[in-house]
Amino acid sequence: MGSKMTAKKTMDEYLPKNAVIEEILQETADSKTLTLRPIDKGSTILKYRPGQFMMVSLPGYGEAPFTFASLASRDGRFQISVRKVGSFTNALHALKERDIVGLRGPYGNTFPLSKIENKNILFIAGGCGIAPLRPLIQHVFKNRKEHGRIEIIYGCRAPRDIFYKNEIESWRNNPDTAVHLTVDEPDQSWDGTCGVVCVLLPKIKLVPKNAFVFLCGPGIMIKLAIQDILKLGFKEGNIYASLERHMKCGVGKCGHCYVKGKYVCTDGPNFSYSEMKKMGIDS
Amino acid sequence: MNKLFITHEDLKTFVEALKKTCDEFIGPSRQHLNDIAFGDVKNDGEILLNYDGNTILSPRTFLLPQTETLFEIKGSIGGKVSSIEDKKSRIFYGVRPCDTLALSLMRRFFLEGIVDRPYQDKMENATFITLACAKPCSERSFCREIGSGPVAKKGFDIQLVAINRGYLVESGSKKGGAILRKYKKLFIVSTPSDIKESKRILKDFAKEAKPINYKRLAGIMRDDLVKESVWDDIGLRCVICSGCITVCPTCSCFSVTDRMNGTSGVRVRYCDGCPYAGFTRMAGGAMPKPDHKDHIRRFFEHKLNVDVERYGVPSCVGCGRCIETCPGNISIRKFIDDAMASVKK
Amino acid sequence: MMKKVLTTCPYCGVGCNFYLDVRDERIVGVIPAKSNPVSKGYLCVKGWHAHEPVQHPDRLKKPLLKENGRFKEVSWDTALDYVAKRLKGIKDKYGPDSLAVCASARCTNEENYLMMKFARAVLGTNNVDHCARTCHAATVSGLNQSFGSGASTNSYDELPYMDCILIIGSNPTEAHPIVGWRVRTAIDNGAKVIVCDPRRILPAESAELYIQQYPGTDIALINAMINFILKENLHDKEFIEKRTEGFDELRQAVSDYTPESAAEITGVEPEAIKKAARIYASSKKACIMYSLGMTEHTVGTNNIISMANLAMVTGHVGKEFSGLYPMRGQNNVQGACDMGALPNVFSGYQSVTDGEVRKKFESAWGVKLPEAAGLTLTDMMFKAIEGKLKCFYIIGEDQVRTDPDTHMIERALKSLEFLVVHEIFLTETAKLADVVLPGASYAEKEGTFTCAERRFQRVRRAIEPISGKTDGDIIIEVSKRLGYEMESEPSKICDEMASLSPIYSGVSFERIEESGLQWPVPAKDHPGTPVVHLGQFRRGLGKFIPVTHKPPAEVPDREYPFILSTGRLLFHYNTGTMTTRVSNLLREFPRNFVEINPDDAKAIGIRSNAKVKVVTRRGELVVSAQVTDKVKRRVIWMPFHYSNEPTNVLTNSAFDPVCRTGEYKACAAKIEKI
Repeated sequence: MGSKMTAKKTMDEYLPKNAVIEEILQETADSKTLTLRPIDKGSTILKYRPGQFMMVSLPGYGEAPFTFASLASRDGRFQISVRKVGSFTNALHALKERDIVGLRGPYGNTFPLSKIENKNILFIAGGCGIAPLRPLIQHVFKNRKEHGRIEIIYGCRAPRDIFYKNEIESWRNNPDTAVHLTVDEPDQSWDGTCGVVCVLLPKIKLVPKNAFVFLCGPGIMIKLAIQDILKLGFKEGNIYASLERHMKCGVGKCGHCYVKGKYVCTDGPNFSYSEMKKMGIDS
Repeated sequence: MNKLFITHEDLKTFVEALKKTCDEFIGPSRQHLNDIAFGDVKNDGEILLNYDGNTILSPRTFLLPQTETLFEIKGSIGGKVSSIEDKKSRIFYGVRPCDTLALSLMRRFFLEGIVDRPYQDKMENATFITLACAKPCSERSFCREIGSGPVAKKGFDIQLVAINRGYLVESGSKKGGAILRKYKKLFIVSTPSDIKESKRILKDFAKEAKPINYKRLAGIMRDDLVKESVWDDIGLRCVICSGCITVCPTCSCFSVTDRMNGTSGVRVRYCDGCPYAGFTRMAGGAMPKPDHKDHIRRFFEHKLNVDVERYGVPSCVGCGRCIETCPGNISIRKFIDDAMASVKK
Repeated sequence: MMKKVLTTCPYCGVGCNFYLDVRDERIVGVIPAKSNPVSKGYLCVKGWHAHEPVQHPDRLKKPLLKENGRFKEVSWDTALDYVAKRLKGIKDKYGPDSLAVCASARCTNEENYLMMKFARAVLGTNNVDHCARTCHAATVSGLNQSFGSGASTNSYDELPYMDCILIIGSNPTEAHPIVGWRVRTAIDNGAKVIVCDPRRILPAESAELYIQQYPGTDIALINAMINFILKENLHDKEFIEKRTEGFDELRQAVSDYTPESAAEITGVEPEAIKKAARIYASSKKACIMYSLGMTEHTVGTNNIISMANLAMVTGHVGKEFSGLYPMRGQNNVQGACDMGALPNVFSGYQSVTDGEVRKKFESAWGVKLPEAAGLTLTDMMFKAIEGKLKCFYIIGEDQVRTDPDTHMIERALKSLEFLVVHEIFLTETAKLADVVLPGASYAEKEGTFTCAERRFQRVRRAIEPISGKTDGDIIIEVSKRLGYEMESEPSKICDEMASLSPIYSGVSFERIEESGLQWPVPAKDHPGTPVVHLGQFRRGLGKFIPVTHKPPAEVPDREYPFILSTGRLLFHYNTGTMTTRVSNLLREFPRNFVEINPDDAKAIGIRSNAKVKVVTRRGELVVSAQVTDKVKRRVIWMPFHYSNEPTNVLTNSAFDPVCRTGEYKACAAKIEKI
């Protein structure tokens, strides 16, 4: 007789775990930043690293992917930023503090944290694309001495659409750091740069050789910005884009985010430009 | 090849005995006129122990149903969720070799990396009895050319090969071996003439088939050498019926939605895939590839290029079901020829 | 428990079959039926998802009674007693013709038969009609005049072998995809397809010739084709001589329509008209496929007659591999007509004004029947506004969203004293009702549907009715409360219908079990009729009826410079009550939109996805613009599926004088940038 079958206990990856909304900040007219705290203190979700994402679940509305928009605080809280784009995000916007959401994760790859040590780093973000980069920015500032020069380029449609305004100002206080902002539609209060993010590239004072670039934003921004920074001498393998795709499961099964053999949810969402070229995509 | 043999009569006894050992016995049965479909024949319905042709849908529909409940939700905000488990033991009888290969590819996909619990539940409790093909099931199938038939090489627990006086029987797994041992009284050792007969049948079957060089095909697709006119034609033909992704034994993509009735409900997943524009369209409305032809291209590339690189074989198993259900008369078989012809040898 | 139930698709009129995959009383999927002669294992995207709306949580489960403007759930007995009491009260007070019944092209033949019997035998009125009025009534009236039978002349399976298919005002790939498959196959077999459509639809991409006429100019186009055919001597003299009458009148009437003169009206190059005429006339096996692009006009009946003329001039009718294919829009709109859910005929198109016929039905039903023809749906609405019609009993139709000029329809329904609606979801029409009776979907009933090739096919029960009753059950119970007992067993209802209708005499559940039956089936041993008018037209000689171009009721002017036309999308079905409840279908096209030509868009200063306001004399709607060269300059197009963004607030209720079908396909509109 064969040995007794032992039932392998598999975790049901699709079951969300509850988290409470501790704080809601109105970020821009159509975006909010929610501070979440998983109810289970030992939640594995808190082990996330910059660049990863989670699936947020709302009964009746399903699920949608959101990147962690901050590092986790010591007491087990983190943030997500939500722009209203459809029925799910509308429903998230309708929630109040103390309401509960379901979470699954962390999913996806992380930014190459060890590779960027002692390197110069350029961040390029557009609109709410600053959110996925924010944990990494917080990480490099937290470990400021272990990194080279840091420059941040951030473009928005209008001044009122800028995310994390106070924090961005505080980033400027770091040594050997520059923050450049630009908007498409300036208002009267705006005395900064106007135009797409690429117009700021001539302003950077960081040696491209061996430097790393991290981008996130609308597809067209990623595409155009990569074209321009390649011309400046940044290396394809050192340029990382955080990609957005339609996602339903987060674990490489549902197929929505599949691109030429890669699943953006498990192989990404952060890809180097050399990987993107193999996948036949530019954003 | 030291195979066992079972007579027609004893196969009936074998099947009847097996029916008592499982919760559901999934076998082919005749529906209206010539339609053959898998269904639970444990307690009623007449099973076809041997049959020509193939079932309309593959066993995928039992492991990854068109719609499937993932878990229950009680209470809207902050509600409780609890898994719905389906751990029924199922024996699948009469699975064709093409579908057998498909099942082993699907098993790999769903159980590697992060495990898909609902699929695993069902797969772990399933036993597969494959029935080799004695003649081509339709003009549109090409298992011989793609290498998935007429006999299965692996992926089954037990495989039957029909010959005149009964069936040759082989086990393909520990589970299959144990079953054969349990019912060993029903099996005898096959004779050399039985083996000879089966070889002749299979040889006749594969007579005119020319193997598809799928490695070369994968290379052509990877290097983007397929003529654009081939994709253009496919783009104009596809009418987004979603039939191909529903009938394909190796299509695994799904979407997730909640069905609420007041404050309680279920989260379900349902068949989804490449042909839909909405499959890749993002919440804000942007689409990575807006051209319709690229959606079908994604489907073909996954089957014929990426999976060859990943699994060593294409995940198109040549069953021909997508060809038979396509209202645009798109044929993946014809595509293979067109793609190969895009590059001079 | 697992079972597979073979049934007929509930969407368009093609009549595809599939198995519903039922596991533990839940329908989890569909399996195409390869052995079915109509669909042969093919389905469109709606069919592949036909299981999803059936058990949707929004389904109505209990009767709703309106009290002080709000619905409350009541028991079946309460609801049915109340309905019967009110119907009787209104009939006694105002007479039987103050009541009207709207039968349903979504329900089975047996249910439609019961409904028309209910109207005539129980309520005592011929005021019974259904949504064929808003789609193919023109086909019935037009083809009846020309050929003597108002249905498709030939069968689907001839299509792949045609040498030429003239598609006019029909979008088979989107609206009738499995007939679209046959058109695709015909093209692959070498057929020359001519697409005439104001909108550059997908088949146009693979067509031999694409003609983009202005909406509402079809008679000019077809008459010009006939004119050219006669001039080039391409007509079938023998056929005209032996099988038709009235040719000289036709010749006279089309003499004014040269390709050159028609070009001005239609906006089509004369050469294209000539080429179309030459291909169609000189092909050996040629047919015409049309749909609501031809019928939904104030000249709908004449549009149909003009096509009949074209077919007869070239001898492309009355034989195999020829004919006219009216593509029916709903699963059983053919059947609802066949069953006599029309104000002027009993089942089998037997006139209510014919004394002999009436006597036959009177003796079978044991009651005295009304003698005068009843009101059409169009007229019911006018009579309701006038206050002459007091009560409307609607089964499975959403007039508020489907009929043209929504605001007028709402006014009509609100003028009624009593409105009863059978529905499976709470539609806009149901919301106006005094009583809503929860009906059953196709998956919950036994019966038959008749598809566009006149084929009776079985509908089978996969799950028990969610509300506990089918629409047939409800009719029977209301009828019983009004003192009239009716047969309840669907197969016996079918037998009763067959015994009273000569063209369906041979129809029975037993005989249609295997592959259905195409009517006429005049006897129990008759094999059915794939091709009608073989050797002889139903009316004897085919009749040429001269028709002339008349512009739509509303033409563009300085204030409203665009022609607005409307139509269907592949992913949705009519008012979307079912398809918008299927995630994959809704996701493809979640919102209403308007298609506009790039030149016009530029002139107005809008880009794709910009919000615009579409305005007509009847209403306005804000939707997003889709800039596309599918439509030509001065023409805009909108789908009509969205209940919360209803296109029919814009459309014109001007109607055809013969068949009373509204002009959905052409009205004047303007577009305002927002």
